[in-house]
Amino acid sequence: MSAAPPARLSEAPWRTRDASAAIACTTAETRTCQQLHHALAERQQQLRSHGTTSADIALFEPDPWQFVVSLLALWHLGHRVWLPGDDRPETRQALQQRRIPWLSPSALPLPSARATAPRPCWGPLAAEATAVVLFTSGSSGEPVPLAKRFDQLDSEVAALHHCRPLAPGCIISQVSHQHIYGLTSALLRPLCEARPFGLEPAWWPESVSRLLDTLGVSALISSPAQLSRLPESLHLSRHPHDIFSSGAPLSAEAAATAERLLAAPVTELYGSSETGGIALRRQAEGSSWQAFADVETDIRDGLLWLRSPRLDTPGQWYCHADRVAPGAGGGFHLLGRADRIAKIGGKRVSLVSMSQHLEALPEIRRAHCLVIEHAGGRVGAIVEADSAAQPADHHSRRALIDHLRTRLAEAFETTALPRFWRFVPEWPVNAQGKLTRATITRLFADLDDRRRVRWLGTRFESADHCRVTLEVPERLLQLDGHFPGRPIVPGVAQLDWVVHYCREAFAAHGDGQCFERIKFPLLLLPGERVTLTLQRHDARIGFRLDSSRGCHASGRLLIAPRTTDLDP
Amino acid sequence: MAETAQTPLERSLAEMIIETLELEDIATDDIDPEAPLFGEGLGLDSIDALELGLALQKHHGIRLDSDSEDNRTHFASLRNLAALVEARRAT
Repeated sequence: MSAAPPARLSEAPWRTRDASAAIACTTAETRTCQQLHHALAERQQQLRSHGTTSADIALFEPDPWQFVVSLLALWHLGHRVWLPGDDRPETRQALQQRRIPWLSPSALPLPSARATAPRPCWGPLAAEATAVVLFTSGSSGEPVPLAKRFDQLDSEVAALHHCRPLAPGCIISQVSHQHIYGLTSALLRPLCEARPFGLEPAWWPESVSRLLDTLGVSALISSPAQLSRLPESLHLSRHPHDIFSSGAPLSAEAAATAERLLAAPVTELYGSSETGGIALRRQAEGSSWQAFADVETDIRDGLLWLRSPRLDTPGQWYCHADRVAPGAGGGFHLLGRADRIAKIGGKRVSLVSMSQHLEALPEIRRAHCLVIEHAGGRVGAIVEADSAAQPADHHSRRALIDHLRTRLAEAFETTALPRFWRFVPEWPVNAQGKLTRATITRLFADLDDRRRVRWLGTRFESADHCRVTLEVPERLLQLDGHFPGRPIVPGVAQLDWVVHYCREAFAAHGDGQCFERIKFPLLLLPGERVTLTLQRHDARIGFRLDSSRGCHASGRLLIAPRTTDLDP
Repeated sequence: MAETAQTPLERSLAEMIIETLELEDIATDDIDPEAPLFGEGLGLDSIDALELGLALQKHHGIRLDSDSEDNRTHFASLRNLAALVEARRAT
């Protein structure tokens, strides 16, 4: 393509464009360069009268226009702009501890009335100066500030432009500009490539459809969260020229569906806050990632190493914590993180930090957070609470989860909060003291098979005596229709558990033949936690199913040595 | 238990929400028709909103509004969601 190369941020292209040039647009209006200058000058005036002297200022502003006006106003006044990813109490506190003032443009005093419009101060933007400081989760889980110079951001814009220049039209975005991807793709590229950026929220597919129909859209800046959830009924009269996705890889199916429904190529970008853009792919053309022309990659010990002009030290090789395998055409395939950083809804979450936050609570002894692939990549938590805090039934479990989610919400975004909780009576380790993959799978097995009771641990008191902790999932299949409006666990389901766990505990002694003296003294309800006690005497296994309310089932199972190798 | 009684439509929407989002701790009775579904309240998030948009379309043939503010209102509570389904049935 023969598009002109993008302007550099250090050249401040917004300063010299025509007064009538479109900087941003909505379905109703266009904001011109002149309006930008005016707003920028007013913002600088506000900042001055506010007495903002610190070199570092934190900016959190969801509105793209207000954000850009503030960002440019601060840049030209010589400030370094810190971009927190959210405005949670813990985030604000972390900045406060660094003595970095938090700027909320809407809270600034209104500019004083003047006869003549104020003129912007166009302080220089030096290529080697720090432009923004982003936050990213380091491998320890603590948010690590990451400074980006103007030349690093310029390199990012130029690399993206080189791969896919922005076609004429408006750039609309579904991602946050407080992060590197949204900042460069949705705002800096439009500013440097002279394309207007959209100002209306575009979270919903229906909103995107309206914006596409009304504005001439050049590119949709999106992420897997949205592109993998597009409705089949999305009928567009106009389509974007390009779709970009970043944050996490798109599934092949989602990429194909998005291309079909939006009728435009989906370019996936791969990179990180530390490295900037590394590679890209369009799955319609191939599944392996191809590095940008200016990035050198290497695979060492299964990890991705790279050299890039966008790194802090461009000449040096940098090890990225992503595991990779060689792919077609000199590219590579991503195999997942080598550390415990997860991507939830496109944002990095430190699972280590989340576990530590839980463990810091007085009633929690131990916690382990992990991504449950089954549930579209949501987080699950294995938690050992003090015995007094262990949930006994639906209500106490909900109350505990609600409490834990509320506490975690002080530090993590809602999408990252654990959705699946397993409150284990004791930490479920193997003989080597490790929490194994097999145990984890077992703890969450009821998610994939609704016929299963939730297993939370087995403890052997002796070779013939064990206790199995179980919980009745609210969505247990055996509760369906038993009974409508007042679900209780059928006795036959409870006996199934007895047979299952007897076989697991005492398989060497034979299989269950028949039950004796069965009693169901108390109804068992969804959400209740029960202990199944099994005690073997020769060919008889006595069982009891107890909850905090009392005994729900008891009896004996007679076993006989197995006569055939075939499982019943 | 919910503070206010659920209508049959609200109950079926509560079931749809639980099924769609695989909320393992929530029973249909737990969803108060007037309590917020997002943020505090049920604690749903922006990704859930997209999932629910899809489910509404699949089960009730409803397309959401293109206006984010309107959708915010529709998804504010179970009652509002039921009102949306009722309104679209009528038209």
